[in-house]
Amino acid sequence: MKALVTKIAALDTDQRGDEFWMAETAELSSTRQSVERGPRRRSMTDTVQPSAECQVELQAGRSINQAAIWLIRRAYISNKLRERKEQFARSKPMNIFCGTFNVNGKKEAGADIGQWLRWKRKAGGSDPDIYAIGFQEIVDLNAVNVAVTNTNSQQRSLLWRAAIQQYLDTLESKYYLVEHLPLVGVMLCVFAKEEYRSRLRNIEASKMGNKGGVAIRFMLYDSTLCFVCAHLAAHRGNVLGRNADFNSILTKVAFRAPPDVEWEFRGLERTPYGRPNMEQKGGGGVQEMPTFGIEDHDVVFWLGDLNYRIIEKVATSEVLKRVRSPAGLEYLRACDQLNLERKKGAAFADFEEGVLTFQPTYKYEVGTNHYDERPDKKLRAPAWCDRVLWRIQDPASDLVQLLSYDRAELTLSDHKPVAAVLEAQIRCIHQEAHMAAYNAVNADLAPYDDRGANLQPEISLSTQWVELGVVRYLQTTTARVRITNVGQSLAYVRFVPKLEESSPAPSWLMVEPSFALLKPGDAVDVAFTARVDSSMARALATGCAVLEEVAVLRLEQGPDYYLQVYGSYAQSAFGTPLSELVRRRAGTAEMPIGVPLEVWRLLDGVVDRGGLSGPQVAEELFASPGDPDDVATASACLDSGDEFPARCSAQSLLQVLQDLLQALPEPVVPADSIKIVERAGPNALATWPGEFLNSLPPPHHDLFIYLMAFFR
Amino acid sequence: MSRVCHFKLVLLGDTAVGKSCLVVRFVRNEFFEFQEPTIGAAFLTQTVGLDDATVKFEIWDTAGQERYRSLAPMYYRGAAAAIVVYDVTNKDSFNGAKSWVKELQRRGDPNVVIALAGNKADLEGRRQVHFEEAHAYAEENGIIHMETSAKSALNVKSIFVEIAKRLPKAGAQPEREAFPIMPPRRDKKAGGCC
Repeated sequence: MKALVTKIAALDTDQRGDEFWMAETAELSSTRQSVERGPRRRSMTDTVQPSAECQVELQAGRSINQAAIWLIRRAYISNKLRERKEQFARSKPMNIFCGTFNVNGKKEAGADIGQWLRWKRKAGGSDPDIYAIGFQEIVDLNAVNVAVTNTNSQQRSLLWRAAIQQYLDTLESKYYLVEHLPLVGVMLCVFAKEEYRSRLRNIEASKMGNKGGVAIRFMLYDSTLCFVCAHLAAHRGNVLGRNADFNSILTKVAFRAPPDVEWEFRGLERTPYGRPNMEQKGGGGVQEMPTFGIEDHDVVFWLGDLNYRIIEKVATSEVLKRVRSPAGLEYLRACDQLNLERKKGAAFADFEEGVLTFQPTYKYEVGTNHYDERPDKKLRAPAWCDRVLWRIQDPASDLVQLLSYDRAELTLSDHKPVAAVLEAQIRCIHQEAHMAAYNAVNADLAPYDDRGANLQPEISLSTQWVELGVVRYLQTTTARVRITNVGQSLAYVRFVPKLEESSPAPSWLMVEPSFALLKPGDAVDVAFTARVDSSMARALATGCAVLEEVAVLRLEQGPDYYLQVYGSYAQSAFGTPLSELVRRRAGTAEMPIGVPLEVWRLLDGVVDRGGLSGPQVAEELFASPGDPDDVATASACLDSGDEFPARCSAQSLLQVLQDLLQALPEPVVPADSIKIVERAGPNALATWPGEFLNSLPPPHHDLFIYLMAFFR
Repeated sequence: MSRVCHFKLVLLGDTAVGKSCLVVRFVRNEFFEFQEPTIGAAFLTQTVGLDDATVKFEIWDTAGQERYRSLAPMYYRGAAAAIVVYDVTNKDSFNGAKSWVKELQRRGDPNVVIALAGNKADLEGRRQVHFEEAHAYAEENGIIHMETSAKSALNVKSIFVEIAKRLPKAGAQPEREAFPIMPPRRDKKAGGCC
């Protein structure tokens, strides 16, 4: 069912990339575009966590965890190699053209796709090195095309492919087809300059069931790239469907090409500390072929008709009006579902995208350059359905720069095609220099391997009592412990999760680094960082949690050390019962109603910032979680009594309000009062509201009325 | 040369009953009157030679303080043997030992070999727990029982030997791989954790 196309280009690894290696240091591009970044992930090397193996160890009843030792050692070597990467790795910028076009079932004949594929390069620059072109709706998505025959789709995709090839033939550079994959209405093809034919290896295409997702991956020199073309779920209200499609494609697309090892270990397969032998026979003699996914690539380019629209709260007529002005576009960008979902982390969270400076690409009247407003058709709000995003695996690196992001004015379809040109730093590893660096790193460890096998490792800790002191709401508090290897052999240390737990520390406590390989005499400072958020504040207030933790530090082949971590939570409005909040401000005459001063201050701040002036604006306010730093600052001001800084937005203040209410030991509407609403039938409207309001304890009643009056 | 079988053994018991002293006596044949409380879990190894095999114990000596009690399952999980220690001069510690035995029977490995050690047997004058009472309890539960003294070395080696005899040698863990370590097999997605 799952057709997998695998090509492995044989290549003399000793020869490859020499001309690349000789190249001068990469020149910087001067035409970088602004980029909207999603929340940054932590660097990969910080999160290597052999916890899964830890469980295996316990099951097997063995005390020495070879898997953990191996992973820690591997991470150590990886870090050392990264530190020395200048010695053996070079990078060169390459331009990658990503185009997407929903062609609405139209044929290619006569369309001037050159308008779309032409990249207005600067003088002296060259054509894009790679073209990745995705299409959607190359055939109508009717039942016959989907279920019965694929021939139609195949034919159309070949015609589109030929049209692209025909355009590329007009360029100075010569291109060849790397891979091509149609799936009903969707298709993706990748072309590369002829000169890279021998540098482009481990090519594989994969597709994902009926979700309309196809992907092509390969290794270019020593960088791994993956291109995804997708047509996500339609309909304006169906954000969740699109998110689900995205997540399903992201997690389910699998490749089986010979996995090309993390770059810092590339070419070291035969050494004892290289990658695990993936093709070892399993216990039952069944050979399990390993797979890897979209996210296991240095760079992922995701293009397609992602179908995200403008949030429904903005009326269609309003959208049609606003698309005409730059200010209107800015407004609409803030109401774009994809931008909002990315901020929330619900989809494409660690992807990046250029700023949408062009007009929405859908829905046009076919053959024209105006949005479809014909009275006999369903009126649709224009939307940026067609997008190009990318993701870098190692967030510490700055591998990709956007050079341009625009649409083309073709009138063939009811969508406009979109194109992004990106400059990616492609890595090339010099084999001998790499091997030398690797050997040097190992030579540092080798003497201890030879004589350390029978010695008990020994470490010392600067303390086993980790005192955090006073921990304030949303403020990070850090205490450090120094671990020193005082023995004669290598010390593999790591924090281990307790039974039934998956991470070594509870959610309020971060331990970094969580593992280390120490040579004799080496030391590492481990930071214990506490942060109390609204749910933790509530747990502390209700006695469900304490700011105490025993972290278990395991020295492989040696003892476990318990590190007592403890702190005290500072008096704060967050986590204080409502009755107490109200009582505290008794005597101040600022406000006549019995609501906490904190709530009043926050709402006052929101009004001052012009929040809640219109229904759509209010919707946006709640749609965004606010800036995390501003939320923390405003929360601190709430406790200290200081003014909220002007830079804190209304969104941030509303987030603080939500957190404050969430941290209440007893919610604004207690469980008993909710039961009244639940018990009431649909026709009991005459009676239950009164009963409901009467059931609220006095401070809760006042606050409830106050909030309802405010947000009404 | 007889074959070497590896077994994980855990020491459990209330605070200050002499768990660490027992292990140190067994492994290094030393005794310290003022042993520091264990904050963590010490890991030591020692072998016991039997006629048909050599048993190598991988010993986890756990912290007895109440606040660390919830961490004990990390150590007895998967253990082939456990020594539950009480102090013959402290009645409460014997009650504590009984609850440790119960916990092992309920949550430990079903085939775990349990030994009950009444330590500080040299302090006859301060005895609070009678040998007969503890012995009857042990018989009822089908576990080994001995009175020991880490100070005088009474029964320390014997209790480990007795455990070694009862351990099933057939299913024992194989000798571990010598350095350099070879990577373990991973069947999840490549790069999933790196």
